[in-house]
Amino acid sequence: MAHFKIGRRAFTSGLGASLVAASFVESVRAAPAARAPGKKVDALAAGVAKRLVVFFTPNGTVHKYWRPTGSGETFSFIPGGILEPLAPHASDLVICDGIDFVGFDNHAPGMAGMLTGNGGASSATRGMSVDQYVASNLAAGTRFDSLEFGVQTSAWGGQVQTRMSYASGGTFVTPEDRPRNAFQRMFGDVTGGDRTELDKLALRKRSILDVVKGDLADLYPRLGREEQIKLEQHLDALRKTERGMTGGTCALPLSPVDVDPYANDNFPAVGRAQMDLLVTALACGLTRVASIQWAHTVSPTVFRWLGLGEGHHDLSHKDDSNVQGVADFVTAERWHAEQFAYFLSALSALPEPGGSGTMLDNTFVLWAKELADGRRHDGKSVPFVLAGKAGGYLKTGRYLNFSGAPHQKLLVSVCQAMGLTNPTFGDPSHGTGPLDGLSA
Amino acid sequence: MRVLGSTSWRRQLVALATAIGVSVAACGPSTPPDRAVTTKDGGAVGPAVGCPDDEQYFLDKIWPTLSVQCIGCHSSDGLAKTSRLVLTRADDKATERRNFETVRNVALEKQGSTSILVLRPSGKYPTGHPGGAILTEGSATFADFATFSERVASDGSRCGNDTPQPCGQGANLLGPRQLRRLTRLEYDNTIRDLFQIDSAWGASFPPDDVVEGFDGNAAALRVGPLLADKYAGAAEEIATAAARDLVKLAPCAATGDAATGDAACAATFIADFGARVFRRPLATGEQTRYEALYQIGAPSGFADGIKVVLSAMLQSPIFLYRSEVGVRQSDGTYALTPYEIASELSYLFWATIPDAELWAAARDGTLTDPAILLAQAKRLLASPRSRAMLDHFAAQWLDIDRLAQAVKDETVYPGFTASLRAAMRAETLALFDFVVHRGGKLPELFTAPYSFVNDDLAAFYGLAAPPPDDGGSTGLRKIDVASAHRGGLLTQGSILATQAKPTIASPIHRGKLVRERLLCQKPSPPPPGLNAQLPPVDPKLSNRERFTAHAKNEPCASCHRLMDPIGFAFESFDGVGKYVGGADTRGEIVDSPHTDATFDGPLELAQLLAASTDVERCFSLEWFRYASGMQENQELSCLVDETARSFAGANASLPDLFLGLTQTAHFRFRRGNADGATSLPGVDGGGVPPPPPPSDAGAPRDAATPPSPDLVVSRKTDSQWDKGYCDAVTVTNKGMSGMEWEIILTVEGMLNQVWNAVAAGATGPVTFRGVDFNKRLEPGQSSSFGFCAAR
Repeated sequence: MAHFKIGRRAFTSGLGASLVAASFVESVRAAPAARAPGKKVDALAAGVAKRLVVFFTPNGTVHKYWRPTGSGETFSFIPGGILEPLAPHASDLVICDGIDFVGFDNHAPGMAGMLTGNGGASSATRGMSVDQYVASNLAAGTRFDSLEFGVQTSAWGGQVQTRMSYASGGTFVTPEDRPRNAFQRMFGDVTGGDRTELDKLALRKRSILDVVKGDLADLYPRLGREEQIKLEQHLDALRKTERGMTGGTCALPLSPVDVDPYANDNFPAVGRAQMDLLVTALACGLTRVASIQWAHTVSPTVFRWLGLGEGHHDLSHKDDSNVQGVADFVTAERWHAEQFAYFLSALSALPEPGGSGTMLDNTFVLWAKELADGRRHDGKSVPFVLAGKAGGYLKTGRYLNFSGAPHQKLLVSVCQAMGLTNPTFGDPSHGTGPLDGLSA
Repeated sequence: MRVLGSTSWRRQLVALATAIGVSVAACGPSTPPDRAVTTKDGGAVGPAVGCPDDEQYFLDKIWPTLSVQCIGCHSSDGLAKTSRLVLTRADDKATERRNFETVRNVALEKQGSTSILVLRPSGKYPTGHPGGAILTEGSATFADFATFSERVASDGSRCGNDTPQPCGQGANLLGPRQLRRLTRLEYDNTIRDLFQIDSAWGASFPPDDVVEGFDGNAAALRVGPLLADKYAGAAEEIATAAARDLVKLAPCAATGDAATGDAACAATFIADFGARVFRRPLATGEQTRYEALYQIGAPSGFADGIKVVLSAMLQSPIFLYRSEVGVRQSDGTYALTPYEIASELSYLFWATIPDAELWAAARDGTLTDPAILLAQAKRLLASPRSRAMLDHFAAQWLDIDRLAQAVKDETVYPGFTASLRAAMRAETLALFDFVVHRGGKLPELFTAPYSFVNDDLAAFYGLAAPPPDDGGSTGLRKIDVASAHRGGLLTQGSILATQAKPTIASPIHRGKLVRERLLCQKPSPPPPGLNAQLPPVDPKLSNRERFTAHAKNEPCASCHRLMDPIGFAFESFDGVGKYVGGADTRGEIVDSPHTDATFDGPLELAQLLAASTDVERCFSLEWFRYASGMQENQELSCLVDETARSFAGANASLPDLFLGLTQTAHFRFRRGNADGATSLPGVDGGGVPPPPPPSDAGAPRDAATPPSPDLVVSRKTDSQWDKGYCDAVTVTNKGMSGMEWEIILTVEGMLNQVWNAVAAGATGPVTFRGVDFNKRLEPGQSSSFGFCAAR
């Protein structure tokens, strides 16, 4: 039971996810739910990433403070620059220069196109974001197809500016902004009790779901097509809930401290708790696909804990002549890089459950942004950073320039790293196939 | 736009409808002439006769969009002044005619077989549209633009009667049948009123999607996995809490104790209490289903049986969605049931379930009588419980819910506490409620010389705190604010502080609020590639001087002129809405035909807005969005128009507007919509239904037509990797006459994706043909498509 204590410290004092999750790994029950594989891809094949994580931060970058010097395997981060906090992880990274959003730019379109490849419902990937596409095509056998963690994403409600993940063309996947709620969802069902008691509980839940599905089926034929789609999505959600009732999980860690998730000054604490939960979810085998979204495009977050006084979006528009303003933006962006570094540390500190190497070795982590240069609202050289060896797919420790490749190719690479075979992602008219020279 | 009477009204509303819902830039830097198109298309267009009523079609269907979304850039002083589309704000027949001619000429130019009037604004043109994608494929506006282009380019054979039908009493006043998922607020109110327990479950759900500022849009309110999980958890907790007082839920529980008695009591509970949960009596099948479910919990006792039933009911779609589905009538429309109408009313005015009186009127069917419906609507609106609606509507309309968490620098604005913020929000809602309940008119919201303050807010405004009211309350009390340089909603702290930055006021944001929420004109985001870098702030400059920089920079000015000069009205209020005085508060409203004027200060601005028919029309549109749960579109234009006209007819009386919607045909009837499937796929089986197969595998044609020798094919490999490749193909018609193209290409490996073409076959020689928009090639024209194959 020692891990309970470690869990408490980690969640309450922010000691670090590595400790938390490491303790959970021992207690992972590898009991994936039986599931018809169909045409789905076995996520555990050799040379394939077992997990995908999308890590989002908003409002673009200022390239001259972001770009490393050098190229290929010989590169270094600029001292004082945005990515410098990633230096300890350099060998686990691919820094991507020259990947463009083609045919769309600006805040809202950037949010919508970033993970969907700017593809609508009629594209081969049906308007899904890459995380959802991968999740729905993996025979993961996990409790959750995917988990979405948010850090103050929803103060403006769900809308194009505040969402990046799409279940289908135009339908958002909502992130959970409250760590306590995320925890409840992940571990709320973990209870003690004898077998009979658990069986009874399971029967009860299944019976309720059957009744609800019966009501859905009765209502369905009375509706026009548009409303029927709503019910189909609802049914799909229930199926996922149902699957979430079974399958592998961990012993119960202590729940994170419940703070106001939308108070500006809680941004770092909420973010840390969400990262810890995300790592825990992966370590416990609750899911293989997850995302963490920090704020949203045009975010007004004021990084007061760094002594900054203006909102993040305002800072992202400072002119070079505005020396202090640009320096403040770089400070804020370095902080994002520090969070990314913390996340990578947590994953790389964990041995792969039942395998060799670390969890990071078998994970594809995509740090994405919705804009390239925030000051110009453009999509030329979006600052993507990839991390983790992705089960051997990624050859890391490199700084690569893809010379204007459309980002759809990156999304194809993500899919192929996860063992999928789709040749395009989103809008195929600007680019097809994976990025050249990315895979090992 | 012109003022012309009811057709003009309708056009304007349609214009508003199309102006909104577009989140992409409508302004952009000037468009360089595209040489490729000019040469390619020079003289390629055949004789265009057009249709006799093309100009009318233009006025009805095209101009409403152009005059709101496009003219900002596409005018002689706009960013697109060097493009081929330069429009003039029309108020006379000659200008109108000139605009029509200009647009027709653009429509006659084609890329491939599609008019650039369609390609450009929908973002499909090869070199893009600097103003971004304005038209969404599949939208009514997109279809109108396509139809217009076809009409003007035709030889006169495509002139259907597709000008809009006049709005009448027919189906064009009816909206669609729909399901409206409960919002978080409605969920909590509903639980509170069903069980008499406080509910914060809804508030803990992920925030609802927001459309045009409102969280009640039926199309956006869906149930995804996260919410389904939350519903399940909440249902269990609520059922447990409710079952603590079984007798309240099921009075028969007080007497029955034998097992058979329990089951009978459960059946009564399911029928009686279930009808409250479902907002209508249960169907026989439902009754049976829930009685069977009771038996799952019953072995552990009556309470467990009730709990499991409640838990399921609270997760049922019948509970979670408000039904506006109706019953089919002989004329093809649908009549909402009395129970549906009762819920429509109660959720509209109280954001919760019907009370006993309304329920009784549903049960005896009298609610379908318009007079009784109106009487009930009046009763609900007059009740203090209508605060649930008024507060929710006003707070979202004026965007003041962000105030609580808005970051303010304590060193600049000391004492801007949470309680002061709360008092500001309460002030705005109190004024709104007061004006509505006294039967007030819209202008009073902008010009009221009084407001409602508590001691803190009075001190903040520099007013002597009013004495406690008759009940001795020191809460909000009515006070004259004219002496504090205030009057009306726009001078209240809630709006001024929300539309500001952590350390300074923001005329941009304040002006934007007026432009978007009071005039219903959405300024475009900065055009792509525009250098939006801000130089350091010179502390010696006034706020106005800092922002005047926008006016000197042409790309910025074309949109900022819509916002900043309005926002300057509020320059005497700092970043938290405190009056500091001494500022130049002169400003101007431009490009809003019935409002344009100069003014000095917020009170003069308020007078302009109060007298503006633009504001009046916009407010009725905002109300329509909120109340109907729908975003306006072409199909709803008659209904939106009727709402606006009845508001105008009632001299902008707020209660008349709110009640008016209940008197529309839409409130009781709906039009039929596209038929759905007859059964929910896969409820009985396991497994997720497979995604629809890609629709790119066309059937082989009966007889293969040999490819035309005039077709020149260019094929290149776009990408390749170890397991596959993708090719990009361009076909060009080098012949002298138009054709529908078709080519045969050898495909190595197995074809697994095709776009912008249809393929017959999957490997080896494969025939490719164009799709709707690119199959026709005029002489000299090209089409592109692509495919991928696995190997």
